Amino acid sequence: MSDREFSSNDDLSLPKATVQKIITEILPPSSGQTFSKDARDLLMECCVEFITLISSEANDISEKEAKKTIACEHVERALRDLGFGDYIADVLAVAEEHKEQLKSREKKQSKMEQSGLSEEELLRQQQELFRSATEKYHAAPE
Amino acid sequence: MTEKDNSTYRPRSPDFSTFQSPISPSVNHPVYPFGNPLAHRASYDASPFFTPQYQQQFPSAPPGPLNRVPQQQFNIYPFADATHLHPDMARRSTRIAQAAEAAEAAPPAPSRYIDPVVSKEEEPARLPSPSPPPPPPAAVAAAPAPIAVPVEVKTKFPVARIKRIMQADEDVGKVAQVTPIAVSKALELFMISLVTKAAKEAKDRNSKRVTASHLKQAVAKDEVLDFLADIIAKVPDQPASRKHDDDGSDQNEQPKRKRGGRRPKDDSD
Repeated sequence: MSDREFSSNDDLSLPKATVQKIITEILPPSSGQTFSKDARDLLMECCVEFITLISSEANDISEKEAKKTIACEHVERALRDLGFGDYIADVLAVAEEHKEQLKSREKKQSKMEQSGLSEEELLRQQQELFRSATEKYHAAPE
Repeated sequence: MTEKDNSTYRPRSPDFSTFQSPISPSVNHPVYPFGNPLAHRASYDASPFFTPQYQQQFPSAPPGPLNRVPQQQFNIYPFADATHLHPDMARRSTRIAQAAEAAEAAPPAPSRYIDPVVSKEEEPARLPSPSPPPPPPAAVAAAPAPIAVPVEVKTKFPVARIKRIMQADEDVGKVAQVTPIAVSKALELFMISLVTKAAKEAKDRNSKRVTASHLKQAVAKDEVLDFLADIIAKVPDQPASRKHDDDGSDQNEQPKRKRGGRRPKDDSD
């Protein structure tokens, strides 16, 4: 798709700073251990490989199901098949959280229904606001 | 499609939206008959009503003992906020127990309207002493967790980048919106496991510095990580594990390591 054309090769790794930050969170200075740069670079390669592995496995699974889009359950199955079953619970929790978030966002969009007023009532209020704004505008000295 | 994806990611960044989601899946934010709901929504995050509402809502969230682990992982900030209420913030088990109690005590979703009363009475009861100044959020992460979660990582990967990496494989077609998010969580756990294992390798060799070869050793030990074989094959074998302190010969044996410096452990051994 279009965004694939824009991505150049150098973007196909993880951002170093983010990786470094996460490493530091895992191995805080208090642990007395530091992570060397070459180890970090290797780790980044491994991470990219991991993503590739998971997504190609998930892709296979989704294709077997004749699905065009890789969904969360495909990732879940891929993780299980590849021996990362431990991750599934957390991954699903995150996915669930994301879905809930979408829901609540949709809810925010349908404020009209939330207001508990009928459409006519809302329309009337809006007209009211327009009128008062117009009045204010006209009342204001030049 | 992709544009839409990107645009919807944006609001994720404020932490408040993160915690809000698991709490009220089906219920509209109920308690505000006053004011214009539109205006109020707009400034939701900053709203003064926000905090009280969240406090009431939280205990009434249905945290089964099953999903409590993920919950606390992702709700770091809300918990940090709750510090005002819980001086013993650091002890997670206590806090969770309290939350569970409250969840039982407070009736679930349908009777939301009495929640405020209930929890307001409960709050002081749970607070024997006036709370000290809240510790910084970092304290939450640093607190020793009695539960099985070894490490919590607050930093998140950029989801767009994850998606791009996924789709770099040309076989990979469309990806659901939630998929890169799931993958990035998996990646996070994967990274934690790799780093932890590599650190252990280093520790076993009395090295304070985790090097690429430690990581290699860690990977080699785990058959689940076989898919990394090609990548770790590039790394020279750990000379330190066999003949590191014989003489200076290991300098020749690590052509990849351009650092030139010797690792501290060479001296310590």
